[in-house]
Amino acid sequence: MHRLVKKAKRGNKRALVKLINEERDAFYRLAFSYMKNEQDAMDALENMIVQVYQHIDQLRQEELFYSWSKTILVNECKRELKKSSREILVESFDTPPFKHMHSKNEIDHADQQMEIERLLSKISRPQADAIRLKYFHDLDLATIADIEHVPVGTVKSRISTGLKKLRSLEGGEKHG
Amino acid sequence: MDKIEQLLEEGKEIYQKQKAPRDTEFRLTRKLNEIPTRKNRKRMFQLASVIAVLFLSFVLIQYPALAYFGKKIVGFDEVVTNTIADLQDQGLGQPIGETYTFSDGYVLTINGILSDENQTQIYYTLEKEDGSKLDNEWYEVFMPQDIKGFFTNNYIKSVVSDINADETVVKGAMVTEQPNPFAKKLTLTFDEETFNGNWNSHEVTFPYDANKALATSFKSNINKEIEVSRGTITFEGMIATPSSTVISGSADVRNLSRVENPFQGVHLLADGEKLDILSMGTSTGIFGQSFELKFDALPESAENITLSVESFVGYKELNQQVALPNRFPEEFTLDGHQLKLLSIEETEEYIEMRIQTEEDVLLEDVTLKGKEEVELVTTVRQTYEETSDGIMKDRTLQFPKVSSLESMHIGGVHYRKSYNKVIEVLK
Repeated sequence: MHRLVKKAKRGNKRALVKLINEERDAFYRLAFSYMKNEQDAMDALENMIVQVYQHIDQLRQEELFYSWSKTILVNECKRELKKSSREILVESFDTPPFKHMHSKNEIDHADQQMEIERLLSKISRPQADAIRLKYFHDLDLATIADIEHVPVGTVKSRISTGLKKLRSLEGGEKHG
Repeated sequence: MDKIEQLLEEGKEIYQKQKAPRDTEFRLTRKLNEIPTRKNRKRMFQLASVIAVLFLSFVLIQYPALAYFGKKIVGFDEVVTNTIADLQDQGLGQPIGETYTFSDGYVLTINGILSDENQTQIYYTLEKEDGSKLDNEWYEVFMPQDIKGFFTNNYIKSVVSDINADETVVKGAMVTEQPNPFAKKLTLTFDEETFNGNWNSHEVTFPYDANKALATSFKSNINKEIEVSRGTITFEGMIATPSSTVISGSADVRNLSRVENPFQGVHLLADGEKLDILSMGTSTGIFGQSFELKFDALPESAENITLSVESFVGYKELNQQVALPNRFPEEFTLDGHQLKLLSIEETEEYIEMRIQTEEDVLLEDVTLKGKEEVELVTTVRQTYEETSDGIMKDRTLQFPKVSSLESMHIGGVHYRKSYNKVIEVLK
């Protein structure tokens, strides 16, 4: 990985594509969890790779490549969501050669609509985001702090307060 | 583990099942190719100072137009267009014949280069020294990266290759940008992925002769605009070379990406005959979306050249209320577009409505009205079906649950709209 990051830093596009491609499912899931459809998730991924390519010389520690680029991806998603909140987009479409495969993925995803997502929708947005990033996307606290532009301590308290609320919601629903 | 931890664990498992689309690598590569290759700052400075000197001498250089050379580039008909095969037949381009042996007895031959302002193709052959069958992963043995030379640092944009029936010889064409006319030597860098997963980088240097590049037939400013439903397409210019014709321009269209390949309904005609489309690309820059459409070369005899926008992405505001039926399927018409309601079902989480429309129809601002009005959550299970009416798109819209369901509201519809507008490029 270090060698590829070094190559990418020297401007080698192929090396950068290879780096991202090796973790493409993780990148895609992260983008999908914000954008909610394949088309927009892929647009975000495309915008991310351009940003990463243009700013990779600012990355000092090569081992942080993946968490750094995921931060950029989430920023791209948030920027896009802000932009499109003016326009209500209701449908998404697939790219033709692979459409059948894609829709299969979306079936898997949709058919098992998660109990946890229903609960997460009931707590505050920053708390839910932090919990998703930690538990679903395996990001460490420092990366989440970078993504959310807040100190690590704030991330910690968002997660613990969020979890506490989830527990009370879950318990409360069971009894009520 | 408490209940919440268990739910989080389940949630993660479901997320983990999601896979990135198979064309992810292709899309990322294509996107990166739209932006210039990053260069070392120090080198840029050197470049700037040398360019100033060189400008003076530029005017002295002349390309001999379509000169004939004894040797020919042969054997690449499978990987090039008929037009380029004809040019090679006429002996155009620069034959090379540089060979490079590497790894496990692989031999790479750079056979030739055909270059002009619109595109540069480098032809190569990959085979084993002893003529034996190539390994299954032969395409991982040769992954071309870039072409470097005097003031030249061009990324390989795409590769078309073909393996013979015996699986002993691969012939291919790499597409890149035109090298600097002062370059005398070019160096191709390629990566090899070895079978134990390691990576080797190789370099092959071969001579380049700018005199054998093809001259541009002509350039023309178009600068004409076409109004579409949600914006304007501006056709800016045309560059015609013996190998291809490139039309460039920009699009300021709000719903550009709401149909696939919005430019597929744009054609270039020479004396009324449509030219084959070779590629179309859009990129997002500071000045909005720019596009580049590459067509086959213009016939030499062409007198009248026109661009025709037969169709492009369109939008129609509807604000149409549709009463929900009791029986299915039920058909409705949305401004001339058929909408088939296949079913409405209530699942544990959602109200699911299955609909079918033409392939290129996309609904916007859809809500369901019952006791209250609910907005669409997401679209799932999209499939395509070929019917006598063309390709139909089937999908399921999910809405939050609402009681006493009555009607559906549709704000508008994106679709591939006929415009049939014509621009005269050359008369």
